[in-house]
Parts: sequence; C-alpha cells; structure tokens
Amino acid sequence: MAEKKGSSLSRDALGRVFDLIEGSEDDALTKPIEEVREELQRDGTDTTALKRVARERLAEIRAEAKLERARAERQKLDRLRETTRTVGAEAGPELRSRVLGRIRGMSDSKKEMAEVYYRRFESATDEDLLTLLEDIDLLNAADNEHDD
Amino acid sequence: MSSPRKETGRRLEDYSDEWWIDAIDRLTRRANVKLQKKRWLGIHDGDPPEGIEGTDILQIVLDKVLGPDSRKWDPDTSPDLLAFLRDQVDSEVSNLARSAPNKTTSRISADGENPEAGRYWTENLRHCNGPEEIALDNETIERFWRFANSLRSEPDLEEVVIAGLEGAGTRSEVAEMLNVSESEIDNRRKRLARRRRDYVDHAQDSMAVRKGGARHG
Repeated sequence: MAEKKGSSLSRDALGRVFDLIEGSEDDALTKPIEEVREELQRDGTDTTALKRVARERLAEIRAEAKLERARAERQKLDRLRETTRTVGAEAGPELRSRVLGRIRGMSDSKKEMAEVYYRRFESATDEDLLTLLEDIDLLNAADNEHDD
Repeated sequence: MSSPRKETGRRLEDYSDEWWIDAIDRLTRRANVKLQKKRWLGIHDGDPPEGIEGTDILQIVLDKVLGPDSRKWDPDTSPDLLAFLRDQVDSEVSNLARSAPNKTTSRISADGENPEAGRYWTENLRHCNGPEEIALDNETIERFWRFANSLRSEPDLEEVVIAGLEGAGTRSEVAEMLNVSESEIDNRRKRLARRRRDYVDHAQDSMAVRKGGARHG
C-alpha cells in the first residue's frame, strides 16, 4: 500500500482528523443538548459554577429592570395625576369638551372601546367625567408602553 | 431541548434561565473544542496558556455580558444573543492564541523525521489532500504519530483516522469511503474521542514527569 512514501503531514489534514473525532466547533451550537453534555462530561468539564453565577447575575439584572419599569410607571402616574388635578379645576363645559376630544382622538383600532366610552360620556356627571378622563389616559399610557 | 432559539428583539433579562443554561453548555463545549484543536495543531505549545480551559473562557465572557459594570451586549446592534456570545468566545480564544508564544515551526516529512512512528502510516496513506508542507512543529507531528500508532490494536478506529488524512471531512464521506453505516462511524468517533482524551492525559502526565525530572536532574 506504500503508494506515497514520504508524504508530509499537513495542518489541513491534521485539522480534518481532529474535526472527525471531536466534531467541528459549530456542531456544539446545533447538535442535541444531551450530546453536548455527554461531550462536556468526556472533557471532564463541569459548568455548574458558571450556571450558578449566571443565574445570580440574571436575577440582579431582572430586579434592576423591574425597578426601572416601576420607577417609569410611577413617573407616568404622577404626571397623569397632575393633569387630572389641573383638569379637575375646569368648569363642566371645558371638561366635557376635553373628554370628548380624547374619545375622538382614540385610534381606529380602539373604535369599539371609543363607543363604550362615548356611551358613558353621554350620561356622565362632572365627577364621572374626571374618572372617565383618567381611565382613557391610563388606557392610552398602557397601550403606548406595550408598543414600546 | 434543541439548539437555543434565536430570540431577537429581546433584552438581556427577557432570556430565561433555561436558555442561559443551555447556551452556557454549548458555548463551553465550543470553547473546549477550539482550545483542544489549537493544542492538537501545536499552537499552544502542547498546553493551553496558563492551563486555561473552556470554563475560564466562559467566565470572561459572562463577566463582560452579565457583569455589573460592563453589560456589553446591545440588542439593537447584535439582535441574536447566541451569535453575539459565540463571537465573544471566539474572540477570547483568539486573544489567547495571539498572546501565547507560538513554537518555532519547520517543515517535516513524517517518515523522514520519525521513522518508527511515521513509516507505518505513510505506507498506509494513498494520498494527503491540501497543502502538504504547511508548517507544523516537530513535537505536534510526533505527538500525532504516537497517537495514531496507539490505535494499531483497533484497526476500525485506525481506518477513520486514515480516511481523515486522505481527505474525508464528514461522517458521511468516511462512511462511504469505508463502506460502513454512518451510525457505525458515529460509534467509532465516540471511541476515538475517548482514546484521544486518554492519550492527551497520558502524554501530559509523561511530559510533567519529564519536565520534573529535568528540573531535578
């Protein structure tokens, strides 16, 4: 079988043999996770400590994010309350006009909701109008947050 | 669980713990394979620098991505988190390779330089594909021949190595070349991986003994 005595060993050939034995580095990202874990075990690699650290840091990151969202929400509500307080001082006709403007300004996607609010608006007292205005603003704020 | 899905348009905190656990295992194995391959090709002088392993690479990457002072990932510029982490792993391994002192390389003929180990193999090779004289250091080549010769009592494993040297790059190509099923090749590959690991461990132990002996002698 000695057809090619003296052939050199190339880096390509050596790399190819390695890939045949161990699989390519990209395989680790796509093959079933059970196989990956079997290979890690064969490597003598324990990832438990890494996973614990990742879990702890993720918990911190999630807590920070939650806190940030809560802060943003509180600021939004504060602004809303301030607006409502200002509007509350308005006389009936101005308030009525403001609420009607909000209902008409509701987008087409909320047409059914706008009709419900309009029915409530028609029978609302001045006190009801304030609650209605707050409800519409909260709804719009929640929708905007969802869009973000 | 299959490979982690690309969960684009999400923030760091939106990825579940399960996603991270899966990703950490996959990326650690990737780092292991990259480091092992560099050692196999003689890039790290036979040992990873400062005994570094895949878990060390992942620790560096997690510090960069999840650390309190350096949340490095920007979902707007790199929406695929797994791809971003993969690139971080590759970059860290490359940095190590650049910083590690590469050995002096030379062109060597396998049977000319190591007649005992190389002759058997070169006699059994019909041809080698690819550039035949790309520089590999002597120690890497000798280590490979020693590993290859350690398989002589298991001809079915030897066949797979020969197929690889002769240009077969995938399990299906090897299966076709050897006229056996792909599942048989999978089985042989697993056995070969165990042999390779046993051989590397044994070789490292021997090297440590030799180095210790040299120091004390």
